[in-house]
Amino acid sequence: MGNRRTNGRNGEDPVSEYAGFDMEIPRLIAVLLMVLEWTRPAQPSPLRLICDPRVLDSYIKEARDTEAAMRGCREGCGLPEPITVPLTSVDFSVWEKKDVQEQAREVQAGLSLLGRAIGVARASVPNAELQRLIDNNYSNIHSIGQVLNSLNIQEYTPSAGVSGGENTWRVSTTSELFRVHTNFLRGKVRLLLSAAPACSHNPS
Amino acid sequence: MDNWATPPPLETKQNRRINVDLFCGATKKMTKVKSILLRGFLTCLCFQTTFFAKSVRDLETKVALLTAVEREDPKCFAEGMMDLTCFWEEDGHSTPGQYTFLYKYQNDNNSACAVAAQPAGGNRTRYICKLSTVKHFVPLDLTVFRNGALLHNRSLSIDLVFLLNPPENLTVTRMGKPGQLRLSWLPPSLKRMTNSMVYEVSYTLAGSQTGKLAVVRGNTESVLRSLHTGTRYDVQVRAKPDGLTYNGYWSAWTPTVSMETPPNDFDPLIICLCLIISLILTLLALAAFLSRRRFLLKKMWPLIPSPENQFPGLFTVYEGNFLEWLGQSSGGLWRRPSLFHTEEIPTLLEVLTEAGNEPLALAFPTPSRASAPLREASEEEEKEEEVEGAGKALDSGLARDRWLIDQLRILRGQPVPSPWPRTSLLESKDAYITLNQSSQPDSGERTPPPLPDDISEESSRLRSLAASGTSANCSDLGSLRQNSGSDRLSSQSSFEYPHNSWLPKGPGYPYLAVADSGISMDYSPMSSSRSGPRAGILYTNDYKNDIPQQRQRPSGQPIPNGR
Repeated sequence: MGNRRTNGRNGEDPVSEYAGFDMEIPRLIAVLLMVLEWTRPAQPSPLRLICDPRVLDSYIKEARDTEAAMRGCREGCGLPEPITVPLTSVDFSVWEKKDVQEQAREVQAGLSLLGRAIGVARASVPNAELQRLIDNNYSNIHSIGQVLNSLNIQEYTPSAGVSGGENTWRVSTTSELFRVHTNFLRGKVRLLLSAAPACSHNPS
Repeated sequence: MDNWATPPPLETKQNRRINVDLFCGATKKMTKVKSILLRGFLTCLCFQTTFFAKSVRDLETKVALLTAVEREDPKCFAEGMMDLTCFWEEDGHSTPGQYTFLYKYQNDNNSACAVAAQPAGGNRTRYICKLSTVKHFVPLDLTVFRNGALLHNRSLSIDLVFLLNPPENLTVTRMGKPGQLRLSWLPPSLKRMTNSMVYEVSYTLAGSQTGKLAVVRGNTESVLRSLHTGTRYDVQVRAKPDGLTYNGYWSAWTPTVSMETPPNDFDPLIICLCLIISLILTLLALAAFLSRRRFLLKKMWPLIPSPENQFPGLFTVYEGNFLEWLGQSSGGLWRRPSLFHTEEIPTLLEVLTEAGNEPLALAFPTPSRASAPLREASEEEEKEEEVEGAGKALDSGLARDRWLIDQLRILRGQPVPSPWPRTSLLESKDAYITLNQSSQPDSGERTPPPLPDDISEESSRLRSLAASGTSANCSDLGSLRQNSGSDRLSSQSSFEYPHNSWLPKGPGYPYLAVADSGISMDYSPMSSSRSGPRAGILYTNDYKNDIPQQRQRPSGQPIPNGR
């Protein structure tokens, strides 16, 4: 029995080994595929959508439309009192010397001021259509804040209060407010998002 | 002295030579160094001159571009992120010191810009100022004073007045497909603006002035399609910010790049293959058509059944005139009754009539269907006897014929009442006419009735029959009254009904006429003849419509008369 078994093994071993080796390759490929599939979500795919400049472009378009609508508004578009808004000017020779944290802080502070100012402007505008536009811009500002948070940019709220700091000034009309809003999105927000380290692999 | 004096000259000469050689060598070295320095200096100068010339040329180009599109002074453009150039042109040659250029960003103080002057062609002077501080995304107010008086005032945003350099390295390559060219270029070297650029591609036929434009957004390559094959095109590209974050003016065009589109050459192999395949398909279609020709013809032109076989000569000779054909080719119709009469059993028909006071018995042929009650064997025996008697009566003389004709004339001369009382009269009386077809099998005629021979024959036969009867006083029947308008006394015409003009021929038609006229139907069966008194001798008529015999003979052949 033992001899027969041994002989049988000797006679069948090449075939069984060959079959086992043949079966090992698909298993190995399957494991490799599983590993690759498992490692693929490790790439920052959720951030790709955030880094897409078209998202911010849509916000900029809405802000520009609101600015145009406010420019045509003659009555009832004044603010009850001057509102503090961020400075929008960008001197590239100065901006590029700042580090990302400083840029992010400046952008976060500006967004906070703009959100507050837009909330005040919405209460003062009687037109329902303009209110709808203002609401959209308000929600866009919050969306941008969430995008910045997802890009590991810490939220920063200026502690200086309404009086503002060195990078603020005051506006007295909604038209001026939304021109500031548009320029802020086109300038500092876009520069910060395009230069974000999380989006550096996807230059935009 | 001479010796001393002599050598020195020698030495002096040698020394001189050496000194000269040394001096010459030092001079050569010095000359080489100077020449190298000089060359370097000249090269640097040339490079600077070239660069300056290029920058001047670029400036001239941009000034020209901006002058064409911008109406407001001072005209400003930004070539990059950190520069802004403003200029305006005036007639005359004023010194730049007369002008003051101030610029002010929002929430900033006024700044002054040094104004430079350069000739602008003709008697005009261009005044240029380059700002030292550039800020984007903020309104900029520009003010120009001349001798303290406000000359120009304008507000702008620098990020909206870009005037970029044209794209570089425009490359045009042929595509594999005819009528297509592939373009690629490098964007203007501007940071953060590479993906927010829009390009315009101009391609014109070489030597032509009018061309087409194609707009390409955010991409630095394009494929021109639907071009003429084998044609040279001039291609140019220019750039501009897309207008969302940055905006500006169209840049200058790139230098023209010419490329000829690939010719629309046909591969001879493909042509040969197409020809062979088309030939094979044609042959297959032809073979299929030939093999299925009958089927296809039947499908496309279905066979219309023609009555030509049933009516020989109707269409070929008489051109469809049926009446004429009937008159001329009745012989062909002798076969027709056989189609309708499947029962060929000759039978007897006894027609009871009473025409006036002197009934006349005539024998008429009739098929079996009309006289079904006559099929009784006993009656047939009687009829056969009568036929034999009639055959004997045929040998009687012409005197009786004359008498019969006289009787007919008398009958005809009498006012004929309506048929129905006549019929009732016929029914009331026991006057018989017996038709026996089988008694004279050879007497059938195939010639149509209108022939005069038939008339004479029938008349003579009738006369003989009438004459054979002993008590025959009068000739029958409906035939006499129905043929009142005709002098003919043929057996066929005697059965003609006034409205049955379609029954002139054929042995079967008389039968139908009898049935239709009501004679055979109204006539009582032979029982009445048996029950009633026999008014006279029953005559048998060797009528001609002997169907079985006619059927055996081919149509159209003359039938030999048995007699």
